[in-house]
Amino acid sequence: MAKYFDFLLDDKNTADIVSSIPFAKYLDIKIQQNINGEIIFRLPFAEKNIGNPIIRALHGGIMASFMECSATLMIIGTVAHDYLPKCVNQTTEYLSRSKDVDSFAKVKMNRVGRRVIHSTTTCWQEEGKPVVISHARFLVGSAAEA
Amino acid sequence: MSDKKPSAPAFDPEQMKAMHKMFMGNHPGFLEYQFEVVDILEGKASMRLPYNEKFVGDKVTGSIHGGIITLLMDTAGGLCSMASIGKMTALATLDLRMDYLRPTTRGLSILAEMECYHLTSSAAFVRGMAYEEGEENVAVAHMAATFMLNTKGPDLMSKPRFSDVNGGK
Repeated sequence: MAKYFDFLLDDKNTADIVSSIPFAKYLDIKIQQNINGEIIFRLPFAEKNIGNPIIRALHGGIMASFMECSATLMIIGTVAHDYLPKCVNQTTEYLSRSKDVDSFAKVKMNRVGRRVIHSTTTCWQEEGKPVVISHARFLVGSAAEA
Repeated sequence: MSDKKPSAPAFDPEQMKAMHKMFMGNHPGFLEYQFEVVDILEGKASMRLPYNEKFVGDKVTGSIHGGIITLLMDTAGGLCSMASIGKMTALATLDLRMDYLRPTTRGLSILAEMECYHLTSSAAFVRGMAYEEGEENVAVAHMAATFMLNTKGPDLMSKPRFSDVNGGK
């Protein structure tokens, strides 16, 4: 099963990576590339993701889930090819209210160690201004097996 | 921001429970995830998430994904904030920290128990633990979050306003 971000992404390849996490598949997360070739994660809008039905903002927990799934998928695609990295903890900061449209996320791996990865995920919607930022720590390698 | 507690109306957990049931009954997301309100006390709330194959994070062990636990605890934290101010109000999460203490077991429901440890006129500080049902001695996850109170949204204690039934326009 191809699970690498080293080449141009195709739908089959990205669907394979997403389906390695059933919950990411349930959220219907898509993996895309932007014009600079960077990996972008997309959370298509769905009615079930709404948290506040009056102002139609997405649920904070859904945003946090999306960020965690994005970071995990990024690590699977770049470092942890044949196992699942373990999330130790995640801090999510909400900067502005989300809307009932698609959300996008970009993952930056700040440090890739042998046992721990620290990553920052930024999520934005249509204007490109950040809506949510999250910082997460993952266990990889031998630390993920224990 | 002052530390003075907002004047809360008389706390009626049964009314809160009924109101929350009504809120959840119309909510497309909470219907989908099948969250259940277990208990509401003053400043405390607990919610339950039945095990579902859709929410699995690790196919091999059948362990639930951290994201859905975050979603459950965020929702329970919001309910807990409402329980501490004594009325249903719209809330917004300002920040949320999750610690995943151990992987969950296949087939077991998750129980989130939240408490509001401080309340100001505009923010609620909430923390809580998640457990597996029947394994209440070992926690699965810990959450600490801050909620902004009195944001735009449904106020279920008052009669519906024109703006509420017309999508906030």
